[in-house]
Parts: sequence; structure tokens; C-alpha cells
Amino acid sequence: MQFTRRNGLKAAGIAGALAAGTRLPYGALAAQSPIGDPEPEGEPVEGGEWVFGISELPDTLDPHKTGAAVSDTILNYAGDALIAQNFDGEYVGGVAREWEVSEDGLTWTFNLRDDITFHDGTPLTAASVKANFDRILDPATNSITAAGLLGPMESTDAPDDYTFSFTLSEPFTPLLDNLTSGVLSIASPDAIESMGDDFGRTPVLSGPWMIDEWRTGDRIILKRNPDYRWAPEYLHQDGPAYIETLVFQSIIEEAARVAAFEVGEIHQTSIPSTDIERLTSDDNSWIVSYDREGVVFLEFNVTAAPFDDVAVRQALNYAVNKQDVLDAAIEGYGQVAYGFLSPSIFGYWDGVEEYAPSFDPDRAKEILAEAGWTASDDGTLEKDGNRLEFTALNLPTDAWNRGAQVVQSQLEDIGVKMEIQQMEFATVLEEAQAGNHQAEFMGYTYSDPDIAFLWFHSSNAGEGLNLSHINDPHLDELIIAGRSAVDLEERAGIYAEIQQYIIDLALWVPLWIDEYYVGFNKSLHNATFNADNRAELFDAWID
Amino acid sequence: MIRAAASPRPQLENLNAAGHRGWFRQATRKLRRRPAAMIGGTIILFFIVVAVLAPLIAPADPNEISTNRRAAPSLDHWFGTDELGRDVLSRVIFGAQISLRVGLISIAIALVVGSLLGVTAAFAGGWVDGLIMRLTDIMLAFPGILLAIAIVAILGPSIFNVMIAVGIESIPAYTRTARASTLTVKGLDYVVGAQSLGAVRTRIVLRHILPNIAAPLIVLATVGVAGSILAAAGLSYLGLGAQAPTAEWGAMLSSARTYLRDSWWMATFPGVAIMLVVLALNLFGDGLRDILDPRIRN
Amino acid sequence: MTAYIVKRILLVIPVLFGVSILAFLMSHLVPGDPVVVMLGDRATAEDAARLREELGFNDPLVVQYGRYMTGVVQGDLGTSIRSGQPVLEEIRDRFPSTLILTLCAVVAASVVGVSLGVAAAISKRGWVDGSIMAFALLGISVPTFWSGILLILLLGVKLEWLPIVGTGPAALVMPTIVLAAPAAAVLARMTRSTMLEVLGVDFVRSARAKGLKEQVVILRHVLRNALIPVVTIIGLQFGGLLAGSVIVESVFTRPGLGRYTITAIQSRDFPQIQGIVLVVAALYVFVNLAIDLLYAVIDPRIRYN
Repeated sequence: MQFTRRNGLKAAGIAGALAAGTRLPYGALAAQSPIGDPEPEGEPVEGGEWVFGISELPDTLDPHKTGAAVSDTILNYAGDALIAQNFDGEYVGGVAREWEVSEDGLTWTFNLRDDITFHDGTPLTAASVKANFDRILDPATNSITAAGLLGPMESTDAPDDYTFSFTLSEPFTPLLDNLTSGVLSIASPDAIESMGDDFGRTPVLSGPWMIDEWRTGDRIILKRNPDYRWAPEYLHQDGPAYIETLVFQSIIEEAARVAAFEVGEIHQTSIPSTDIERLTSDDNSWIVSYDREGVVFLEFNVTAAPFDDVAVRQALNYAVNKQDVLDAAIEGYGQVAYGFLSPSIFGYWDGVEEYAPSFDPDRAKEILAEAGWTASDDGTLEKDGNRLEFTALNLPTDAWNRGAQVVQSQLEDIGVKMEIQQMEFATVLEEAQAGNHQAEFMGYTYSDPDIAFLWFHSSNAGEGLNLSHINDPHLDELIIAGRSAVDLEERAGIYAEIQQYIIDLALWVPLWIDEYYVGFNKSLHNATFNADNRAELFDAWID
Repeated sequence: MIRAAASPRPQLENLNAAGHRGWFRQATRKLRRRPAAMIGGTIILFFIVVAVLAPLIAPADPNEISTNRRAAPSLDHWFGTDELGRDVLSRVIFGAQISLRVGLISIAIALVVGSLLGVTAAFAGGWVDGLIMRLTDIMLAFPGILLAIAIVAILGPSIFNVMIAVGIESIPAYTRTARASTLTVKGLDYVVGAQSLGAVRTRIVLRHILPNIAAPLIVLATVGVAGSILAAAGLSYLGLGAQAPTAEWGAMLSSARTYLRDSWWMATFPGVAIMLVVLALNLFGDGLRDILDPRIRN
Repeated sequence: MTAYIVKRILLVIPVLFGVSILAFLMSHLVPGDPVVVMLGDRATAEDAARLREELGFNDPLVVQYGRYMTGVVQGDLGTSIRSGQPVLEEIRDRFPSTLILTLCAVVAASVVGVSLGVAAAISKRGWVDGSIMAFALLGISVPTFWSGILLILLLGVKLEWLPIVGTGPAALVMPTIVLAAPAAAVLARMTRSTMLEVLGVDFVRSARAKGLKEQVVILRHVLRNALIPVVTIIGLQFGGLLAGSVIVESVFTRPGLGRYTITAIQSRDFPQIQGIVLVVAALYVFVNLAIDLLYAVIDPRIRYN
């Protein structure tokens, strides 16, 4: 039994989401999908233990400090954010019952629930929310993820016990979606104060499960919050969650993690592409899939030879057979990428598929010949005594390693020699930021087209993520216009232009968009895969 | 990574009796009478021949990618194909070049630097000896794999840097052995005699010391080559070894581990190749030790 | 004897001092910036610069080293950049897991290795000897990450005898086997050769000539003497096993120092890297010191001066 969300997603389509734009303020393309039986039979069973298999435990669970993606998932189960997103992808009340955004988009006011208590028994009030946001905004906190999510937030205010508001210095469209993040869950200010460093290990929040214990290097254990009665409206209202214990078990070696899932030692885990075929025919598990919000690509450093010549970059875009790369890298479980956005991200322009270069090695050779490159004795192209050779940095991921080797052999076919240099993330980033590299394989996951600011704006060259070192005033202008546009249609238009322009500049060879697979043990009932690609377990039970 | 076990107290008093030129011939003759060592030697020889003749005997280009991915062993591909459709047999054959090179070069680094330091320490004595031995202690105490990981991280991952890392990691064992043997030989009558006759120090070292301390170092190095092949495989597992598409056995084994369930041939053949070479080197090293170490005699 | 012990203990100080310098230089030479790793894909240039200043990375290396060592002598190994926890606490949390695994492996390797070695030596050149030595050779010839995964698939998935994850005693079996096998092999070979060596020595011959039972000769005279170099090797293996735990802990996801090491290097967490090196080095030095002193008990011939 397999249910892929991709079908549903494609049916929903981009146009549909845009048309519904006024109702769905932002980015809500995804619809829910039940995990397993759509109509579960029987009554909910209380108790039980659900074990997630994850590769590594997070750096810290302090929501305001963490930089690990897995923290966001864990905190989603343990905390309540101001806003929630229902199974149709609509934004609904969380800690806030309702909210209001001023005409200019700068002042946001939230009317809070008055019935929430933290796990330590203290009540959640507007003062608590203000304390949380102030702590994130305080530079001394060194917030990694949370501060970035708040964007240009200037000041916060709590005019009464259950009214909270903040002011932005400029409109920031991604904020509404960001406010649903696990890392923006509201934590108990008392606990932050009294626990010191321990707060990062077992933070005190207000969600349906409480963080009970962190066993170093091994697992994190969450226990059900028996007093939880303030679930968002789309979940059951008459009592706490059914599942007693959630466990996040670290298993680093992928082969061991899959093995542990198969024998039932862990109940939910992501499935590597190499095991999907075997596990979809396994009777003990449900497999759910979803698309990466982001792209894997080969990026060129435009300040280094030979990629300071746009012709070379364009030629390489014609030389790569992306389907071959996709098949070898991730066994074909995904789709070919054309531009810098994936279809699951707001603002994706479907014209990109026509506009982007498609596999055409003859065209690639033609472009290079026009640019003055000629074949040398051993077949490698050369121009003015310089051979068309370069080194591409790559991360130590099996799938990327396979993909890179296919690209390598395809480039060799048109006379371009690519060396692959595998390095850890830290080193790749440092080399690329310093501009010491020629090209690198990279990927990103981000739910907003504002990713363009991080990757292409000139202010982020050097120490940020502008690793192509592109410095183009026209591009900068477009990017700034895109991140402050409030009108959705206008915003989508700007990003369509950016996508087209990036292809003209040929900064990347976009390669593929992964289709991720998650396996669930069949003992789980009534769980739903939500808009954040996370299993909503509040209504779920285990038999 | 397990350090090669070397006898900590080499005693070589008797070697001199045979004269240092005689021992090599004597040793070869004795080696022939040891079947285990001969088997080991033959396997090593076999892999050396395979490595040298790789371009001639490999049925395909080891890096030629095809869409015939993960094909089971057949007449076309005796060892099957890997996740990118490359011929596993050809990659194992070319892998012999890489792995043997890693083993030999890294141990050559350790052997040369280590012996030099050891002999110097033994001869100079005093503070030089103290300094070298403390440095050796520091190196020994420093967790070996961390040192190797760090060296590779500093220099960047490549098969060449793995050789340097594994080489440096192995130096202390050779320093200690060389120093201990030199101290023993130094006190022997004929060396003392040569010194009193006014022989130049370099001449003493070259003519009298080196030939007489060579035996334990050779034994150590034989087993060391095996150890460094394994160490390099371990670094490949951690993503710090040979760069794609290089056909290094450890890297092949590491990328095959995700396919163990469905495509056994991908891991089995490079794994068996590593096992055979390491096994052979150890058999051969054992034989050498039996012959060269006069304490074990019937 | 006392003078010797004092001298040996004093020698530990310069060694550990040297290790600390090496560790410090090493972690700062490794390319990659912990700040960049920390901030990840949301880093803006300003954030990075501010954090770097705050963590004191802009000071000269000597100043940073001085600051670090001042803490170390007071028992403070610094604070992890990544987690914000004191490094000493983090190491203390993870140390037991590695220690238990290493001890299990040392014990298993010693028991199995020495017994096999003795058995092989007694039946020298016989089929027992041959098969034990062949087995021992296999033990050192297989890369641990491969044997580890094969074991998981066999004992964990196929037979379902042992758990794949967890921290209980049952979950300890597979990593112990994988870690102990090469060490047992080395010890078996070592024991065999020292046994053979001692068997050929005069006092054994005279003991036999006196008509002592073979078992008595073996146990009282041969094994005792043969064990001296074996004990040294056990000490060296102890260091090797700690290093081996890096790979074995990755394969079996054990919450120990080996795994911590990899993460520390990957995230360029200087205080963590330095802390691990210091602690592991100190442990190694002290274990070997203890073993040297143990000689006095086993071998009365060793003189201390």
C-alpha cells in the first residue's frame, strides 16, 4: 500500500493555489494526505510508544538557539506556535486565536488564547510571548534559525495579558508561514531563566508532548502532556494526545537505520532511494512520499576561469543529461530540475521547463566552438593554451557522489574535464565563500522563493551563501522587489522574471528535485501527513 | 585502527654471527621451506602482477559509466557491475594499483622517517634522544585516527594525502623499534671495535647498524602495509579517502554497503581483495619474523 | 622502585602538554569555520562577523591557547561552540559508553586471543595451530565497517537474535565482536610467538628435564613469561580500540566518544576536538603507565633505575 503525495500535489497545481491566493495568504500549495488507511476503523487506543529513526540528534533543543532541522520537527510535537496550518494548508489559530495585519503590512497584532499553561504549570500570556521574541531578537542569544525566520522585526509589545503585537521595518511576506515553525514555539520564560544550560536539553514548552529526557548521543524521549486541551481547531478537542511516548532515536549508519525499521525496532524513518523498491513491497509498512522544497545543482564561480565566461556556463547546461543523473543518483525517485526553484515552492514559474536548456551535446559543442574552444590531442577542449578543466567540490553524500560521477562522464563526452573533490560541508562552504573554488555541487531546502536573496544577492557574497559570487545590479533589484512585494500575483511575477534571468546568467546547472520517502510502521492509525511534510500524530494511535 | 603488533624487545645478537651479507641469502632459502609464507608471498606477487598489468588485463575501462546498473555477475561481467554500471572486475583490478600504492608509500614514509629518528636518538643519546622519544610518546598518545582525520581534513581528501596521514600515524612504531635495535647493536663488540678504530659515524651506521637492524623493521613494515591498506579503507568509509571515480577498494566497499541486500557482488569482490592482500602480507610477515628473529628456533 | 614510578609519572606531564599544543594547532589548522558551520545556510555576513568576535576567534593563536590552557589546568575544557554545553560534561556523558565497549572488547580480545594463542603454540604446526592462525588472520583482514554491517544484516535482520539499536547489554554484543576480533587476532598471534620463544629457552628445557608435568611447565614457566610482551600489546591495543571505536560507534550508533569525535571535526568545534584529544591521550598514557608498572608484578627481573 503506497500513497504518494506527489499526485495530489500536481493536481492542486500552481495556478490553483494562486487563484486561491486571497484565502491562502501564502505558499499553501500542499494538501494533507492520510498515512495508511484513509478511514481508520475502531476507537482510539491510549498509550504506546512511537519511535522515530533519525540520523543525528540535534545540537540543542533550545528553540531560539538551535540550527538543526530535526529540532524543528521535535519542537513541533512539544510546543505550540502562534499560528498553525490545517490539513488544507490554511493558516489557523494556534496560541493566537486570531490576528490582524495592518494595511502597510508592518504591524501585526495577535489575540491569544487564555487557557494555555506551560509544562511547568505557569500560564502562557502575552508577556511570555514577548519574552520569547525578545530573546530571539537579542543578539546575545546567537539565534541561528529563529532570528532568521523573524526577518526585519523591529519591536514587540504586550499591551494586555492576551494581546501581543510586533512591528516590522519593512513588509516581510514569508513571516506568516514562518510563525508556524516549531522553533518559534513559545517556551516558558520562567524555565529559560531557572534552568540555565539544561534548558537546551529539556526545554519547557506547552505542546501535546513534553520533553522528558535527552540521552546523550542516543535518543530524546517525549511524554504525553495529560493536561493538553488547547489543540488547534482541526484536531480533536476533548483530551490529550493518544500516544503516550514519542522517541527520537539516532541511528547514523543508513544501512542500520533501514534494517532497524524493517525489524520494527523503529517505527518511522526516511527511506533512502536505494531501499524504496524493496520496502514498498513490504507488508509491515506504509510508505509516504513528498517532494523536496528545493533543488540540487552544480554551481559555477563566475569570478574564476573558465566560468567567468557565460558561454562555458551555458554550454555545460546543454551537456548534462539530467534524467541520467537523476536515475543514477536517486534511482529516479524525483524529478529533473530546470530552474532555481522547485515546483513545491511559491512563485515557481512553469515556463521554466520550456525556457531552460535541454540536453543537447551538439549544441553544447557548438557554443564552445563559437567561444573559441578547440579540441586538443587527447580530446579535452582548449583555448589560448588553457584546457577546459575544472574541479567541482562535492559533499560526502552517497547519492550526490553518484550524480556527480555521471555529470563527470557526460562532460567528458563534450571534451570538458571535471575533477570531483569531496569535502565536508564546513570546508566546501569556506572554500566557496572565499571564492577559491571553480564549481561546487550544492542543494538547498527552503519554503520561500526569497532563497534568491541568500543565493544570488551581492550582499551575500563573501561570507554569505552567494557562492557563485555573482554581482549583478539588475538581479539585486529584482530580488529586493521580490522579498518586499505584498501582492501575491505581483510577487509571483517578479520571481518568474528572476527565474528567467538566472537561466540567462547560467549560474547553475540545476540537476534534480528529490522525492523523499518516509516509512511508517503499520501499527499507526489515523495519522496525517501535513503541509509541513510532517506526520501529525495528535489524532493518531498505535495498536 | 589497530596498530601493527611488533615485538617490543627485538634481540638480534645472533645475526651478526652469520655476517650481514649472508642473512639475506639464508633468509630466502629458509623462506622456501615455509609453505604459509610462500603462499602469502605468491598472493602478494599475484596482486603486484595484476596491478602492473592492469591496463592490459582489465576487460573494461574501470571508470566507464553505463546504464547497465547493478547487473549480477555474468559472462560479460564476471564480477557484475556497480551502481553506475561500471565493470566491478576491472575496478578491482585497477584497485590493486591504488591499494598497493597506498600501503607501500605510506609505510615507506613511516619506515624512512621512523628509522632515521630512531637511529639518531640511539646514537646521539642525551637530550636529542630525550626529545625524540618524548615526541614519539606524544605521537603515540595522540589518538591515531583523529590525527589521520585531521591531516586529511587539513590537506584535503585525496588518496595521496591518505598516504601521508597513514604514514605519519605509523612513524612512532618504527622510531621505537629502530632505536631499541640500534641500542642493542651499538653495544656489540664489533661496532665498538669499529668505533675505536676511528671509523666515521656515517660509515658505522651504513655498514654495521642499518643492515643489522633491518630485520625487525622489515617484519614490522610487511605487516604495516597490511594495516595501512585497512586504515585507508576506513578513511574511505568516513568519506576522507580516494576521490570518485578512483577505484580504491575501501571506497568501493563503502559505496557498496547500501546495496548489500540486493547486490552482494558489489561489496564482496573488493572486500575479498582487501582480505586476501592483508592476509597474504601477514602470512609473509610471519614467515619473515620466524626466520629473521633468531629467538624462535627449534 | 618509588623513584622510577615518580619519574614515569613526571614524564606524563610534558607528553600531555605536547599533546595539548598539537591538538590546539591541529584544530585551528583544519580549514573550515565553526561559525559558518553553526549559522549554516541562513548566514549573513554580519551575523558571522559578530559571532566570530564574540567567541574570541579574532585574537592571536597564542592568546587563545593561553586562555584555553588556563581553563584546562582548572579542570575547564571550555564550552562547545555547537551545543553551548561544557565540553567536560559532554565528554563525561559519552565516556562511559566508549569505556564499556572498549573494556568489553579488551577483555573479550584478551581471553579469546590468549587462549587461542596458547592452544596454537601447544599444538605447534598441527591442524589446531593452523586453523587458529588462519582464523586469527581473518580477524585482522576484514575492514570493521564491512564486518559490522554484515553482522547487523545476519544477527539483526536475518536471524533477529540481537537488537540493532539501543544501549542495553544485548546491543553491546555486536559492536564488541567487531571491535574485539582484530585485537584478538593480534593477541593470538603474539601469544603464540612468545610462547614458542619461551618454550625454546633453557629453563623450560631443564624444567622438563626435571620431569615436571607438561601442564605445570606450560602454566608456571611458559605462560607467565610469555605474557609479559602480551600485556604490553594489550596496552597498545587499548589505544587502538579507542580509535577503532570511531568507526564501530558510527556503524552501531553508540553514544560514545568515537561518534562525538566525528561530529566535532565535521562542525569544527575546536573546544570539543581539543577536549577529546586531551582526554583520550591522557587515558592512553595512564593505561600504559599502569601496564609498565604491572611488569614489576609479573616479571621480577625488570629493574627500575
